[in-house]
Amino acid sequence: MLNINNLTVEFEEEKPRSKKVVNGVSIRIKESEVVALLGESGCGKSMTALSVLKLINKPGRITSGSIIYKGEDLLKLSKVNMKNIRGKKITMIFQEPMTALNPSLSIGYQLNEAIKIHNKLKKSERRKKIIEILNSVKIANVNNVLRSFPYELSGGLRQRVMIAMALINDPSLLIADEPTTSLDVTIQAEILKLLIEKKEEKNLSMLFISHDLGVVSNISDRIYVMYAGKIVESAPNNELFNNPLHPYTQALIKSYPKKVNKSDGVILYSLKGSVFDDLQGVMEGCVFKERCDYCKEMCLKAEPELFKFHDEHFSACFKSAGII
Amino acid sequence: MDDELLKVEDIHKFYKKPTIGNKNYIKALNGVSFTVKKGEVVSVVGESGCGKSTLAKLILKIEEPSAGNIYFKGKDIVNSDETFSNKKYWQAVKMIFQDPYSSLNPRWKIKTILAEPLVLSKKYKSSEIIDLINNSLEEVGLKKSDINKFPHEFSGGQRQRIAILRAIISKPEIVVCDEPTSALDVSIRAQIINLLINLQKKHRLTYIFISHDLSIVNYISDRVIVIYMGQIMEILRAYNLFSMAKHPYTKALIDAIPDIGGKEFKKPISLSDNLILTDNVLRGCPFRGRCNYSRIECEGINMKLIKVEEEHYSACPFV
Repeated sequence: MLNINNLTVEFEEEKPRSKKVVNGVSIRIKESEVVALLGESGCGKSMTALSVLKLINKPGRITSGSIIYKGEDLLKLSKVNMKNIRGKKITMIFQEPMTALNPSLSIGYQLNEAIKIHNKLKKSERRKKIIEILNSVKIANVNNVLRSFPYELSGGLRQRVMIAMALINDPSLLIADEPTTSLDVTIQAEILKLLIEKKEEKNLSMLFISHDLGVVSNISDRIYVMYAGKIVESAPNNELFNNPLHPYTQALIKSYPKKVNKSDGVILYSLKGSVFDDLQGVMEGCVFKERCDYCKEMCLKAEPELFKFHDEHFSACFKSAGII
Repeated sequence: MDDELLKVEDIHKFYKKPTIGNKNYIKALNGVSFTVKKGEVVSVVGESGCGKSTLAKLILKIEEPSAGNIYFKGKDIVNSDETFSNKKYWQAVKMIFQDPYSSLNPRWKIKTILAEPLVLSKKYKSSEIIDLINNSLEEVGLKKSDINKFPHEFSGGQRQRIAILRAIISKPEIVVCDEPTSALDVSIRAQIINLLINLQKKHRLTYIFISHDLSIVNYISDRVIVIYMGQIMEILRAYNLFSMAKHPYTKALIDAIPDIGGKEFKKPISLSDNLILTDNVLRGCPFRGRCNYSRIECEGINMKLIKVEEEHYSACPFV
């Protein structure tokens, strides 16, 4: 349904140098599938999501690649046509609902606006639809919520309103950019449950962006692991956690505390260095070379492509491919 | 007990609502008591707004409690007299903050940042201070050449290392860590946790570790205190956290941790996010509005910790 091919986003800092924040990323999302993009801050996962909606601001620029949505290349669409897709066919939920909602307009007004732009409905019909959607995201006191302003709602309620707003025009693809990061664990579990329910009910496809292994493992069908602007591994959910191939994925899984206490004698695995080390220096060879335990001479020079292992399991590492 | 370092006794903290003429109070802490032993890592867990940061402020004496007492080595620090001044107390208790971007002065070089607690302690000569800083930098994984840099030249993880070193360099008795890893990335988080544990073992430090992340709390701490709406729900050994937790709230928190490894979406114990705002509710269990086991008696009970077994107390009399 959505095919991102070889997408590259560059930031022009100082001419003539430019920085590739997304570097040749390809992602494929099938009908009613939840695809997760897993990565740390600064790895380019949000930039990938924003480019699907063509929301990248200067100095950022999409320099190559294509984003095919139902047979159409979104990157070649005109501004007017893009408006018909953005907010209607493809919608987005953001990390921080307080900054994503307008603080000076009531919730009712903002939801109304979301329908009005894309549909020609009568006022009473719009109202009916708003109440329906708020009920479906399990907001109890609908009339009160409609009249209130974002600051009057709790974090969980605000995120529910965001989800309602994203679903109100019956989209076919929902992009969720860390939708639960700013919430408490108990509320996070509720929101995840809601998203899964809605997905099943409406046959949605979802691109779910997160840095949290646990969340990703709970919600997604397939996972892409991103590091320093590149996809380093992609696999179906179970496969990725049971048989991680790329050293970066392995390190992420090992560093997740799994219900153990320090007195059990388990030392938490920690990756050396930081992403910073890999973003500096020579842009040659494997993106993970500075922090990898298995780094060999070949990794410094040649860049590993995504090697295929099973039907849907790819990893960009010479070691896992058995070459070194 | 001899090695009892800090004793918090029935402290309350009420904040006045900012509206003029309003006589309502926000009850941030409502009768919290616990003790901390020397060399122990005690974690305080709870959701945002439960009062865990208020507790940290009270322990650090940044704010005064509305009622109750805090004893440090048997001395009352709330109503302290001249013999035990704030300055002396702040030598013994240090803090590591959540956000390493805002907790380091951007205009100070690293050596100035690290020297400040040593200078204030008035125990060291200036030549000793430089030596001490140089020797301890490597302990937290920084280079000696880093001392002439400014905070903006470091990544988040490195900054947190500087903040940790600043807290422990003057050899404090207690370090209060307020969510020290929640602003960091997954791969950096493990580094910082390991560093904190190593330092704690090496210097026999005492940590009060404030967090909302149960999986980290379970890993790092000896004892866990679960707080909800300003009241302690359960105290237990971290070792038993996942196997022996009794209180419905603790269980709900444990259940809400997303497990990795496979997509078997277990239904979390349902907690609505429509809290009964307990502004005016003093009686009864504050958790009853969200609890699956709640019954009529919950409205009337006196919140009291009941001993389940050695070092395990729960505030729920029914489950």
